[in-house]
Amino acid sequence: MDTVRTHPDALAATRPKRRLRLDAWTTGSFAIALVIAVPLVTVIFLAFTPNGDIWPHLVATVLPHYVSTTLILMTGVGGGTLIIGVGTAWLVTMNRFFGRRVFEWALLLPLAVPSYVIAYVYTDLLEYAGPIQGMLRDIFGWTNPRQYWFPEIRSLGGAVAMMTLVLYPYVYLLSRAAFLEQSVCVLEVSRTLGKGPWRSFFQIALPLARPAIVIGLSLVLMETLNDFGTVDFFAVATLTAGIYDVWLNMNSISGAAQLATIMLVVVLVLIGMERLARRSRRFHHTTTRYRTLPRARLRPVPAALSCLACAIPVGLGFGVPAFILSRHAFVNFHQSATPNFFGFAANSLLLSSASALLAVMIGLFLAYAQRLGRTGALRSVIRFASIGYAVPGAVLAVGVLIPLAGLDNAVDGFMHATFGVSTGLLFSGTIAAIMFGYLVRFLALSFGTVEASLGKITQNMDGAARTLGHSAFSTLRRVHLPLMKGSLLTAAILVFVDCMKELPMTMLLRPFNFDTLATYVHQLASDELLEESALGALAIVVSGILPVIVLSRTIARSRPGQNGTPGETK
Amino acid sequence: MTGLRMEDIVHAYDGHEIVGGLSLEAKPGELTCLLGPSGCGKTTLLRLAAGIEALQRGRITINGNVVANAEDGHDEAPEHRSTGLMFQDYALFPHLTIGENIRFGLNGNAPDRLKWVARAMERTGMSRFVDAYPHTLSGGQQQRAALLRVLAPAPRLLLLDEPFSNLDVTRRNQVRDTTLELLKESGAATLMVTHDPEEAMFVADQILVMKDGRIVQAATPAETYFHPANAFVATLFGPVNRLLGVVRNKLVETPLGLFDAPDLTDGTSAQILVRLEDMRVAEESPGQNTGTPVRVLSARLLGRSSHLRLSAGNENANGVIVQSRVPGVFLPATGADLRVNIDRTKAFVFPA
Repeated sequence: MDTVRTHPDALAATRPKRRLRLDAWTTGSFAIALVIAVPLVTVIFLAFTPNGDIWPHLVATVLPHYVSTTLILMTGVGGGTLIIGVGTAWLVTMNRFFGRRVFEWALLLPLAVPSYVIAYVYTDLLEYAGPIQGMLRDIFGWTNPRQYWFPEIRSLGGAVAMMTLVLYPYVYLLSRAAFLEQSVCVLEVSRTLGKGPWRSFFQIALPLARPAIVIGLSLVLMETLNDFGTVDFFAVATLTAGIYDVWLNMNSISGAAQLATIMLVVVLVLIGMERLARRSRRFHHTTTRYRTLPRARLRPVPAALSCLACAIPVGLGFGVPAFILSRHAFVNFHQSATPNFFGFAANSLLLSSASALLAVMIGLFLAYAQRLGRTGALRSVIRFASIGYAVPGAVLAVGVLIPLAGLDNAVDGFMHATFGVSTGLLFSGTIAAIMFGYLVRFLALSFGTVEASLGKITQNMDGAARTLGHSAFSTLRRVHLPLMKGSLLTAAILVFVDCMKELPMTMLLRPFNFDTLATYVHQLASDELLEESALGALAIVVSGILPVIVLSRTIARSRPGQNGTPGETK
Repeated sequence: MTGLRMEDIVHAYDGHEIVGGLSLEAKPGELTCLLGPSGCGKTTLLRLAAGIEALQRGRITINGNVVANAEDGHDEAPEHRSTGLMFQDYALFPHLTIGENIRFGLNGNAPDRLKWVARAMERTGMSRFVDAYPHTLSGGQQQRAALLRVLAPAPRLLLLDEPFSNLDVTRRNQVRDTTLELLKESGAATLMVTHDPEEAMFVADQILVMKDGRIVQAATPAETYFHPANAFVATLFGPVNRLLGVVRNKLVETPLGLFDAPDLTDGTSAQILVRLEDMRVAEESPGQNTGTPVRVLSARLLGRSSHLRLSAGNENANGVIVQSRVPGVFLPATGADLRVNIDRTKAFVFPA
């Protein structure tokens, strides 16, 4: 046999390096990826720039409190979402009970509710003047708060509860997919080896699903870290709230940057956790036998309990807020549907649509360039640029504003020196700055969706079109685009909705006197005007249902062997 | 007009060499077949010629024009090479009708090519599928659509990757004739990849046998079959009997007799390869027995031929078990004594 020619030394000498082709696609991608990476690089750069006078002050005053609060919040939300997410996922995939088919998708609904919206709703409901406490006082004849104990909603515990209720779907989604992926045979083997259903769950199903669960958990924790609306409303001093406070109230952007770097460390840990889990996810199954899951039909009492266990998170996370918001919106429609409201709604729609369009176009450009070039350097740059999804909005806002302010100063200085005119703020504090922020944060979403969709088109399609005389661009236009229409729409919807909901970056980057639905709702709610804010909040929730529909359609088709392979037993 | 020339091609994926310093030529108007087992680098060569894989080392010319040269980094984009590449999976665009697929490579108005397409679709019975989508067609119809799509722009070089492998055996024979006809008419140089030796014999003007990224023999089909360059080529066309021996005085002694080994040095070991169908077997008849006596171990009818397992020589000492394929029904009883004759021109002697 003469196949042993691949001696490393010989190869190093003869193996030609893959040339980096410097065409428009590659150079364009590098340029875009670098621009997208600027905010991130800025924050990292600031972390290593000594900034003596603020740091000791922060450490001495607010920092320990910020950090401990953030950690408690993350632990609480992490634990809560794990229990609810994994528990409900197991119930709906492995058991049969009344309402299971509905719960399968309904459990995703709380994803449509931003955590700050649910916080307003429950505050309205549970505070001293709210209907629940009022009702209790009426029933028991209490007259003042000293006569009874009631949990304070505007607290750290309240924040944990609120975020858990709307973030558990991430864990649910990924663990459900993981349970579905597991070959039933593995579980059946476990049962025949004498383990009961509970032990099979804890010893087989759960460890197998662990990587997926960890990914879901890391997404939850990233969102927790990102949250600004809830903690601001509840006056819980987390790092995100701290950035806002230090920046706008103490007027120290470098202090804000210092806090941002601490958050970045947490983010890096989370990203590491997620990447590690993703890597270990491929892949353990040695059997390719998939059958329709033999769901256990539960006896009446466990069935009722299962039904209840699924109904509670859906009800509390979606049902209650949707009901209350709808009622308020309906009753106060004339006070709420003001020209102001429509103006802000238009702002939100335009800003989110434009950002979504841009994010999808850029995502498509990068994904296609990566497909054309397939060079390691380009891949790494794009990967780095798409870390933005994990970075809290408040941190990115710092990273966006500092370079833009620098750019403004430079342009202003240049214009002043050359033409004697002052141009002022051209970039920072404009809509362009918000859009750039959105792009940095949500590009990963559109890029990932487009990349996955492109990956499903065989390279032979490209080869066929190219050898038939079509350029790379023409091939994209005539072959890939028509084939990817659905996925591009999905990508646009995902980005659109996230932009609609986005609060911290919008608050920090918006121009003076510019509001979106999110900031408007937050402003009204902070002023205890939930009735007026309900219409706006409801609009955000309704738009948030779009991706839930997309997701539930995707997961319905996601199980291997689901599409009626011959020979399958029902 | 020189067709395709690929010179000193080296190609590696992730540090693993797939093609190792190979040169080949495909002449205009001829069908050249790359024949070899899967994973030997055949498809890579097609992709390099088409330009959808970046050339790492070597030089490629089409009709005298250098389209890629690793020395100076010149690598013409696939859309400028005027090559037609037909994929093993056909790669028909699922969102376009058959008509749109076939016309995909015609840019602007090329009235004579459009006319050609219409005529060719008529001839191949594809006209009624003009508005159909690829997934509604049978494998054979998809194959014809893919072929017409490749031929429509009248490329100067045709590259076909296992064009018949997705078809069942009966369909394959029908499609092969139409394909050959269309290819011959086009006058382009054609390089086709296949792992099926019989198919190569059937369609090729030239066969290039490939193994581990190198060409081990380049010859006409007949030459390849009757004068294989080495044991690998000889065994491509089906099972063989392999007899071992040591060269003495330019002769090798085996349980089936002496064989000439004019090219081997004395004292080295040699192998003699004989195809099953070249073992002439006859029943013993008193008085006129030639050849080596053998004993029948088993005899089975395969349909068109019979398959025999025979033991030759003393079973305990230097005996061997050989096989033979005899046309028609020939089923001697187990243990019967036969004689075997081997046509010496069909016994291939190689170093062992």
